[in-house]
Order: sequence, then C-alpha cells, then structure tokens
Amino acid sequence: MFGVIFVNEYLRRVKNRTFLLVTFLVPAGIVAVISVIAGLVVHSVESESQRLRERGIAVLDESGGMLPALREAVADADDGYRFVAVPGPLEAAKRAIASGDQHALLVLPKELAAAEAQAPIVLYVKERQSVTAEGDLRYFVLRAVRERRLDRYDLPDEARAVLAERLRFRVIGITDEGEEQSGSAEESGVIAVAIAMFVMVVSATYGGTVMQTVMEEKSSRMAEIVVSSASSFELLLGKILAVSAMAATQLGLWLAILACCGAVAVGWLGADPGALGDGPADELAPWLPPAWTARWDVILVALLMLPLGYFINASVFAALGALHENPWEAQVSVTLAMLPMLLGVIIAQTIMFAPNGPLVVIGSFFPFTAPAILPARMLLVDLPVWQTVLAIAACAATAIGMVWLCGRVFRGSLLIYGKKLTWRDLRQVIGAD
Amino acid sequence: MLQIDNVSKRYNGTLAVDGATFEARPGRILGLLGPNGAGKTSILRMVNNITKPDAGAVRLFGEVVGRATQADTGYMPEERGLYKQVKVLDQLAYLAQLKGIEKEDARRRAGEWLGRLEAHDWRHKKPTELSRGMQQKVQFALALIHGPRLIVLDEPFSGLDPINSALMEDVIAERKAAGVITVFASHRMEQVEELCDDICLIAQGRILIASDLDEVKKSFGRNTVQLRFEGDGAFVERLAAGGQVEVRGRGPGRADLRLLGDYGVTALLDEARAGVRTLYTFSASYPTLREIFIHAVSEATRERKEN
Repeated sequence: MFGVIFVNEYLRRVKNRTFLLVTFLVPAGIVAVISVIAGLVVHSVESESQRLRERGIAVLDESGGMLPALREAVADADDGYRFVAVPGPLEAAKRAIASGDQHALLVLPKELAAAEAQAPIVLYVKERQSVTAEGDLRYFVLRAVRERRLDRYDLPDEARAVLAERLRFRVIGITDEGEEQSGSAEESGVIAVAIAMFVMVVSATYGGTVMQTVMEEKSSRMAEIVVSSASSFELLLGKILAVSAMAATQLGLWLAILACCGAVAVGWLGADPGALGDGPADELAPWLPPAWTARWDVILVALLMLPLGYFINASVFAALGALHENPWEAQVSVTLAMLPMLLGVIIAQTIMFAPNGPLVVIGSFFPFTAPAILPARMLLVDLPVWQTVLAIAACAATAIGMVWLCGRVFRGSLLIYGKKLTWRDLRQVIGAD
Repeated sequence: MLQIDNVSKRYNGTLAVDGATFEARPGRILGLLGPNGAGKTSILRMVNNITKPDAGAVRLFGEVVGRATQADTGYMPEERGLYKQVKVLDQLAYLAQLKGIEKEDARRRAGEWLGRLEAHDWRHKKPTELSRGMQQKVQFALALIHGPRLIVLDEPFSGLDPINSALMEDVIAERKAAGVITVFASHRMEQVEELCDDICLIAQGRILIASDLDEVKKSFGRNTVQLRFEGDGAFVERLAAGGQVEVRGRGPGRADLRLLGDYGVTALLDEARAGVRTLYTFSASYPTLREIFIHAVSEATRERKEN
C-alpha cells in the first residue's frame, strides 16, 4: 500500500500546475533578480570609482616626498587616479576641497616615512565612497608607504620580492596510520553551518508542504477511508517520501537549470574558465584553502544523514499538521519545532573552536543536530567507526520512530474532528489502539 | 459472517462500547441504531480496523479483523469527503488500488461504478465542481469499488434527495442479493425499517436489542390498535385515565391507541365491544421501529438511573 500512496502523492504534486510554475519560474526569477542587482551594483561602484578618479584627489603631503611614490604606484598599476598637491595647513586644505572640485583630501602625515611612525593616514571625503573605491585607494597608499620606507634600507630587488611574498599556512590532519587528512577547522565550521542551514531551510520549506498535505488529508475527510485501507504509518511514510521525492525533483531541476544558465552566461560573456589562472584568481591563490581532497567517508555520511535529518524534521511537521486544523493555528508550534534545527546551526558555529567539546560531541549524537554536526566533526576528528555508526543508527531509529509516532498522532487526531486537541487528548491518541 | 464478540472500547476513561455482542450475516442487511454518542461509530471503526478493541474480538469470516481483512471491507464513514483537487475517476482508482486492485483494473472499475451511479459524465471533474448529492454518490462508490464482502455504511443517505436515495438503495439491494454483508448505521428509522433484515440497537455503549427485525417486532407484540365504531366511545377516555392505553389519535367514531404495560389486545376488544353501538374496525399491529427504539432507549436510561 505504501507504494500506491507514494506514487499517487508524488504524481499529484509534480503534475500540478503550481509545481511546474514554481520549478521553472523561480530559477528564472532568481537569475533575473541577481543579474539586475549585480548589474546595478557593478555600475554604481564603477561610476563612483570613476568619479573619484576624474575629479582627482587633493593630497596634503606633510611627509615631503610620499606623493611621488604614490603617483608611481598608481602609474605601475596603470590606474587612473589623479592626485593634486594642495598646500597646508590642514584646516585651509579642508576648506579648499569643501568649496573646490576635488572630492576627497588625502593627508599624508609628517612622520609617515619613519618606520616607527604611528600617525594615521586620513582621507577626508565630501561623501562616503564605496568600499571598493576606498579599498583601491587604501591599497595604493599603503603600497607607496611601504616602498618608500623600504627605500631607506637600500634593499636589493630579491629582498623586496621576499618581503612582498604572501606566505601560506596550512593545517593538515594525520590519521593514526600517518595518512594525511584534508580539512581545517575553518572548513569544517563552514561545512557544518552550511549543512545545518541546508537541513533547516529544506526542512522548513518542504516540511511545511508535508504539514499542509497532512492538513489536507484531514480536512478532506478522506483520512478515515484511507486508514481503513492502509496503516497510518504507511500513509505518513508515503506522504513524507513523496514530498521528499518532489523536493529532490525540484532541487535537481533547479540545479540543472542554473547549470544551463551558467553555461549560457559563460558562453555569452565569452569567459574562458580555463584562463582564470592568468587573471586575478592567480593573485588570490595563496589565500585560498588548500585543494580539498575528497573525503568519501564524510561525503557518504553527509549524504546519509541529510535525508535522515530531513525525515525527522518532516515528521515533526507532519505531526503538527495532524494536530492542527489550519496553518495559522499551527504557527506557534512551527516556531517551537524550528528550535532543534536552529540548535544545529548554533552548535555548527562552535565546531571550529572546540571539535571535541561536550556541546559538539553531544550534538554529533543528538538526532536533531547530528545530520549537520557529525560530517563536519568527522573532518576534524578521527572518529572511531562505532561512534559514526552509533550516530547514524540513532538518527535512523529516531527517523523511523518519529514517522511511527506521527502516524499514531495522525490516526488518533482524525478520530476527533473539529475539536482543539488538549495534551490529554494527545497522550490518549498516541496510546490508543 | 461478521461477529462482534464481547467487544469493549474506552476513550479518555469513558466506556464507549461495553461488552457488545452481535452478528451480521451474508446476504442480509443489519441496521445499527442508537442515539448520538451511543457507540455506533466506535464499533464501525473497530470493524474497519481503524481502532482495535480493548477487550473482545471482531471477526470477519472467522478471521480476527486486521490488515488481512481490510480488502474485504468497504467503508463509507459519517465524516466523509473527497480530495478537492483530484478528479473523481482518479480518486476512485486510487482508493481501489489501496484495496489491492491493479491500476488498470481499478480505473476500469471506477468507470463502471460511475456509470452505475449515473455519474459517468462527471468522471473527469473535481469534487469542487460537483453537487453535494453527486459527491455522496462518489463516496458511496468508494466503499464498493473493490467488491468487498462486507459493506459498512454510516448514515449513507443523510442529505440525499429521494431519487438518489432510491438509486443507492437499489445498489444496496443488489449487493445483498450477491451475498454481501451490509452494516448500516442511521437515525432514519423508516429507512432502516424498510431496508434492514436485522437490527442492533445500542445505547450508552451497550447492546439493547440484536436480532431479526421481524422477531423483535413480534416480541413487542401487537400494541397499536385502530378502532372505527359508532357511538361516543367513552371507554377510550376511561382506559386512558387508568393508564392502560395511550391515545395517539381521536375523532368522532375513531381512535388510535397504544397499549400500555400488560394491558392486552383481547381485553381492549372486550371493552370496545361493550362500549360502542357498532364496532366497524378493530386492527391491531406491531410497533414501529421508532417506537421500539424510543421504548428500549428510555428503559435503558431509566434502569441506568435506578442503578
């Protein structure tokens, strides 16, 4: 009977006009919105930077000689900044740019050339500039100051190159057998938070659909007929799996559509992904994390735990659907049901600080948080197999138990129509045969 | 045969069904009667394996009711509906599949039943496009589509017009002729009286009467008498004042009476002969099901209060 319920529920959902519209229009909408926002941001950043370059920057060079170094740095980078020297004192210079053409006044203090100088470099602006525009300017100024200070030591070019080099620091774990394990604490933290967020978003979105479908079953008054033909466990399992399959279909289609859009965009822009090494990415290379060697055990556990986590949460939503007559009545309960998922996100954020701390250890076994915490912890700690198996088994048993429990709640609640359930009723319907 | 054997069921500490025992036989229709909250729906849910008895057993053809007997049972609950967004034919086929019928066969049967219930033109419509009566016929078809050997109908005719009621009654009669057991819960006494072979009267969870309808009536005796006579018939008022009869209708030369207590037909006939100039008609008949129902429930309530 489970198969019939699953196929019927799945087809009813994916052959629905709303599903088709959402599945195919949402990616188009996302791409359109992102494109418009990105276009507007790029345009405004460029225009702000351009304005700053065109109007020029007034420079009060109290250090005497730093301005040429700044001009040289800009010229080396072939950037279009134009610097106009202005006389002091500072108050007069500020008044001059307030009434003049220039948009900003850069003050290079007297002690700047000295290696021990702590006086700040200050940029006075008429209007705040974008982070990008300010960042560009900061880069050139700091570079010029560093070069000017190094000039005092008469260093050879090789020494300057060594000083300019960006060093890399990696953390590589080793197993008891001495084999390398990739994955730093930061990576694990990011992965844990990403998985926890994914489980929460997917559970909340599609769990809501499960809740809705259970409410529909109750409000349609078909439930009593259906449970006279199949067990409430089969009915709930069929519904949750059908919504899961629908979710997988929808997410898969979205991924495929976004991949196609990406390929089209790359082709349209004429970008060559293989040529990235020659561009800015090369500069960033030292700061990127080391190449992530695929940890198939972690991937396998994550792929196993994700659906289990979803199942547990979806069952809770199904029970809420069984206990309430309409979504707005269920609102408070939904908020409470979200708390364990939120707990997963919170614990995930602490994993990089204390992967063996009690909170993280408990979180990797607690079925509501384990789907996010266990795979991330596996990246950092060489977990004994029995711990991994125990955490997965606890999650699987909880998932099955939750579906069973929700089936009981569902079957019991459908025997009480049009009445608000009390805790006593709930205890009764769970225990009833 | 459906056997309810000393079945009890308790909800929230309240005894909904208290040691119920009765049978429903193939080729016969059993009317399950009782006031609101008597325990009828609790019994029907146990028969359909939706809930289980706390004590006793429900058996269908000798097998304790469970997963294995569900395909043999068709149920039309009192709280019923249809999936709002699913076409009628698809709903019927889905429910038939849940009862173990193969997909293609299920769709064929769905078409046939819609034809039989004169709803074929609505097969591709959604319930929101159907009248209430039409929806009720579809719900009726849901209980029958898989060819069950036991049909359980809870208030199947409520809110239905006479034409569609007659159509459903015909189908029930057909199923009866085919040897199907039908259990039929209703408050409409005249319909139960017309359709049912057996009755089971339940109040406050206890079975008060469970037997062949004719036998039940005979056991109550001919207690309703119609008199047509010439004369003033003053004996009628005298007997009523003495608590021997209840006057249900009275006019010049006419009286409809119900005998009370042990007062018998023969005694009334003697009084009538002596009390009128000419006695044209003296017709004694069995009580109606409604009368039996009210009498039995009142007696049960009185006994419970006394205890």
